[in-house]
Amino acid sequence: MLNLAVAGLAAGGSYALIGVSLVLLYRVGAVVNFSQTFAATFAVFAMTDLLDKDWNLWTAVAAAMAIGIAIAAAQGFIMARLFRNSDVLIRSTVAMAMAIALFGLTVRVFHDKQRFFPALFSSLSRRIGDVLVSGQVVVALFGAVVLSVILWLILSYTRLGTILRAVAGRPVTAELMGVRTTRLVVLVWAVAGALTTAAIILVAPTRGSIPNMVVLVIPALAAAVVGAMRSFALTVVGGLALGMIESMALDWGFIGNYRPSLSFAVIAVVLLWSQRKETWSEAR
Amino acid sequence: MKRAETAGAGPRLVDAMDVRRLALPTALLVLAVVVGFFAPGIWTFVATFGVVQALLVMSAGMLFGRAGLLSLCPLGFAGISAWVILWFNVHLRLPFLIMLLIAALAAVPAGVLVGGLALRVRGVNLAIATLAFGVAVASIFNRHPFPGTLDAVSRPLRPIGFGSNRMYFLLSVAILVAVGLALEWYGRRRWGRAWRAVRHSERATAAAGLSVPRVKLSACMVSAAIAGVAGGILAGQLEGALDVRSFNPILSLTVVAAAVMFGAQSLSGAAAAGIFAAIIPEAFRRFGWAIEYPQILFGIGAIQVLSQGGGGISSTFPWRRPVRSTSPAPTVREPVAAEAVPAGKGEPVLQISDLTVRYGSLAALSSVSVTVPAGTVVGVIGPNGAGKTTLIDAVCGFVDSYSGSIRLDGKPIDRLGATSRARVGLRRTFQQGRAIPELTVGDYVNLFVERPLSPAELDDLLGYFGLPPADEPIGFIDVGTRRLVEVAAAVASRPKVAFLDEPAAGLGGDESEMLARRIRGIPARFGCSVVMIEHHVELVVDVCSEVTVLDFGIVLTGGTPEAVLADPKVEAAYLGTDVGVLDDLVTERLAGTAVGDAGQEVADGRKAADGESAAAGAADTADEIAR
Repeated sequence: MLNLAVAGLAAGGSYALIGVSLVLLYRVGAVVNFSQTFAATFAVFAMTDLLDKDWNLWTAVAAAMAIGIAIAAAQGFIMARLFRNSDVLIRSTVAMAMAIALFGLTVRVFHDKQRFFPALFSSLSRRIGDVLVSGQVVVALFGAVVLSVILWLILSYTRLGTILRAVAGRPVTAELMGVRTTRLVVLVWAVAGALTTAAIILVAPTRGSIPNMVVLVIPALAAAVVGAMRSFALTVVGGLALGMIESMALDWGFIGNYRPSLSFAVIAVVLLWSQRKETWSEAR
Repeated sequence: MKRAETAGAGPRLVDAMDVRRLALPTALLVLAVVVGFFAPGIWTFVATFGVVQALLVMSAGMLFGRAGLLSLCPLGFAGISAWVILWFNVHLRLPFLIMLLIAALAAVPAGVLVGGLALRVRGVNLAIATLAFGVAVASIFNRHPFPGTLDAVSRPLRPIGFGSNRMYFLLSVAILVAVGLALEWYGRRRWGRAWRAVRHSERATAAAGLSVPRVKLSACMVSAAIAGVAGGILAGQLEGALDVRSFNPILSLTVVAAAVMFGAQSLSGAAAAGIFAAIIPEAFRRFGWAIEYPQILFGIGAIQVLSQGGGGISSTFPWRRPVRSTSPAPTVREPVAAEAVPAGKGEPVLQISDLTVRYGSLAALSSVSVTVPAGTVVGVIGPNGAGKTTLIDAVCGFVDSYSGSIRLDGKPIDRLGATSRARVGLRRTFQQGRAIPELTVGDYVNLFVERPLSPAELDDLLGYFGLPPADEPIGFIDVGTRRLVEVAAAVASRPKVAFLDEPAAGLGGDESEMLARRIRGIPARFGCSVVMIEHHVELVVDVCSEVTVLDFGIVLTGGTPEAVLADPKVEAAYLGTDVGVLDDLVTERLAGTAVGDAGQEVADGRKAADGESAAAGAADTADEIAR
């Protein structure tokens, strides 16, 4: 049981990291980025191509990060340029359309053969008592917690954070005050792209196929919903908890068979509870 | 009643529109027959995918385009139906069309689930929840493979005589067209048009006497059933080859992107998307390329459409463009007995007693009591934030909780929700324009009545308010007139009391004078009392027999307009200490002369301060209608 729970922390850490990227983009970019995992999946598959060409492992990882960041930055540029005055629903629909275009592109480019995904950080694996703590768990856990703390500090306590929140709340006003909003939006998308690409590189060995990888956006969304699309801390907790529960559910018979439904259950319960008093739509 | 004959243009116009509506389905069927009989067999197999795609796109597009609900699980619905039709095929062979019907209905409970979520979870949150729902449904198929697909001997699902790819394709096109026509038919009925209402404002929907849960649930159920038909057809097309990959939840995104790109709220957009989806892979395959291109193109196309803010490709189809009415304007009817301010008959129709509304620690209304006599026009005035709109909200059932009691015709209505209160005879308009630009004036008005008005009744109503003809799309009408359309709609059902929240906003001086006469005539003509909130003091003085003044949520004073405006408390509340302007106004009024510009200025100044309600509704482009 404990072994399963700890093993689930690897997936949970990736949910948390991707969830934190989603929250970051929601808070600063006013978008639910359904394409979050799609760009990163392209990057991770590109990495396997490079490894096939006998690139050094870490150079290939760095290249994948660069690709993931570049795609995300390009997406951010499109958002900042074409959709600066759109509402959240329109931007999120755009993100959804980007997701399916990236999916088609990834399948088109990489569907040709079986891929091999390297397991990173296996040297960090430790056995504590009876429990095996894999290197991925260590890195995912550490990464999710540390990075979300850093993001939280930046957003809450730095001048850059204030400017970013201004861009999110009143993009036009911020621009009139001399903030280069396009640049900042691109920056935030790039940071989110980096976090997600890293998360997917970590869990790629257990995922294998393109659909299995992109679908990671669902548990990540569940984590972000637990964090009310605002709180990094609750998102990390939500992601880790979901990962552990999914892993432990392997032992739970009936529920274990429908583990992918857990994200939906979490999302439905949390949203219905948080919105229970919203009898009417906002339009008066 | 000479109108009945002159309105003879109406039926002919309807006929012309019906021909227009049938042209597209006929063209589709002809195209299908040509493709079905002359194209190579493999093409018809691919083309059936196009039909399935068209149905899926229609399912997502009607929900997003009409009801404004972004649901990302059309393939979840389709998968459920495919599973059910295959189960029936294995265990209980019935005629294909009956199994298809059962399968489509089997997806409806999933639609109810999504609709239930949509009652509280809105906008992008609904998109998140439905995407996750699609994944949850797919996990069931992973566990329980599609019945019969793993058997050594596959059982044919296609009906006898339609076993070939050609014939099955023709059958599927016929089903697509039938579903499209059924959707069009339902979409023109009251509850179908209500989908558009709920997209614009749930409050306004309830104020029309329509139940918001019923509207949302019906939209989701219809969407699920349409996707279910797609799933059933796909099961027949692939038969033994069907597996969970066909219903990968990610593919739902392709469908929704296509729906956005083509603006597919009806048959034409959906069919175009289906043709696109069938032709593009074939075209690319000729060059040795692959089937992922529709996904990429749908994605890019959707982004392009969203960046233009338009209604998608189908909104540029000539027959989808809204057309200006060519009918003669309804005969303007002068209000009867317009001269006198209607005095109350004494009998109270609405009694508001001791009404208190609290938002947290703030009391928006404290112990407000107002009585509205039958057959009269009562004004509610007061400075910004006085609680006027909160009063309407509370009386019409839009406030979660209040204390005090509200009686209509002596019966307490405190336990009724907003929709029920509208049905028992409390109607209202909203400060922000809530007319629906995609609908015509007549369709919009008919949204508010249980039974559609006859052309003569409609003409009568529109003529009374000096409105454009019934078949004029509201999107073409200026903002001020749209508000009059709302007033007409509010009294169309002949309610007991109609609350008008700033009906004159956005009207010029002459127009609001005309409006004053019409509002004065409402009690006699429509048999209802009117409660009017206005900032045009001039209008209030002109129209109302009694005025209640609110300030800081309490009743400052009440009585005849002259007495109220002469009250120093009112002057102080409105203008601080400088009260000269209102003095003049009252004097002029008492002297029976026309009100001077000064009064207008006061009203205008107040109006400007009261927010951009008129400007807020000012986006009247053809785009808005087309969507």
